[in-house]
Amino acid sequence: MTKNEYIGRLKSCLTALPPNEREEAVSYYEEFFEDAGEENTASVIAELGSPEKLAKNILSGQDSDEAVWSEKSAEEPPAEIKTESTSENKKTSGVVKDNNVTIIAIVILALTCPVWGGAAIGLVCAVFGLLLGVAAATGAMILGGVTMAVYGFVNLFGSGDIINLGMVGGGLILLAIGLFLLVPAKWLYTKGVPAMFRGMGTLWRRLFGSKGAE
Amino acid sequence: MAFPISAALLDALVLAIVSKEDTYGYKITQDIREAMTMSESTLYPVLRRLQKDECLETYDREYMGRNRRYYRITPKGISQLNLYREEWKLYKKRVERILEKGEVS
Repeated sequence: MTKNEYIGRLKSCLTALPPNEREEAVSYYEEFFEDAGEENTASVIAELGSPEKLAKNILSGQDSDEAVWSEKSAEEPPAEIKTESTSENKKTSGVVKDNNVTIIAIVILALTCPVWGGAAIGLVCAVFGLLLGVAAATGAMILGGVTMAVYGFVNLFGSGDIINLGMVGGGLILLAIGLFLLVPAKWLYTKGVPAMFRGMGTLWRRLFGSKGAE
Repeated sequence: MAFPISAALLDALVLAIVSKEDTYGYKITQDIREAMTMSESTLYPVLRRLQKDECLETYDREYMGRNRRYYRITPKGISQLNLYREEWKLYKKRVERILEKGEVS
């Protein structure tokens, strides 16, 4: 086998490589033969092994980090421009799409404001009403119960009336209900309200925060 | 040779050879083969990797009416070589201690 035959077969075994990588490898071995000198061609071929074996060696060097090599292949000027512009296009269209979605969402929200606005205000008022109601009920039960019990107890010594005894009993029952109501009220104010505000914050960020971050 | 060459050692030797003067593939191969058994096909992937890692860069020069590709060490290659040299000193010390005296430490 001559040097040229060897190089030709090597070249045809490296079609899996990007053109510039193949050229690089082939010219390396062309130079290698020339530097070894014509008289050593046979011993170089004996040392390198068959072109197929050498090609495998070159290709396996590539396999270990394929990503880097494909990145190298992108260094060819036309390929680079092509990939760059495609990725750029993708990026731009992605941004445009995102912006469009946000704008459409805001427009729809604004247009349908009369429909959901009332409901939303109603919902917010209902929630605050419920919160206030629970607090008021709890407070009223406890205060009322204590007052009633004390009033009945004091008058019980004055007149010994059976009604005053009933007042003491009723007051204690009210106090018990009030104290019992403290449990859900406490939960509502320590857990429910912060959670609600957190939820509102998240909703706000999702609607407007991402736009500010862009 | 009884001891196989590791990829890191080969990298270190190539960097050391190129750091002395810019040189070409065939010459590097022969220089390394002065010290140890290595197939002539071993070096190309090593050179490609060192280039890829920006430890070596290449330029072409005409020689006897044809092109010859030269390799030159980069600043990154020099610092990598210094790292290898330090590592090698430690490695050599530990291996020799065991090999020559049978002592671990």
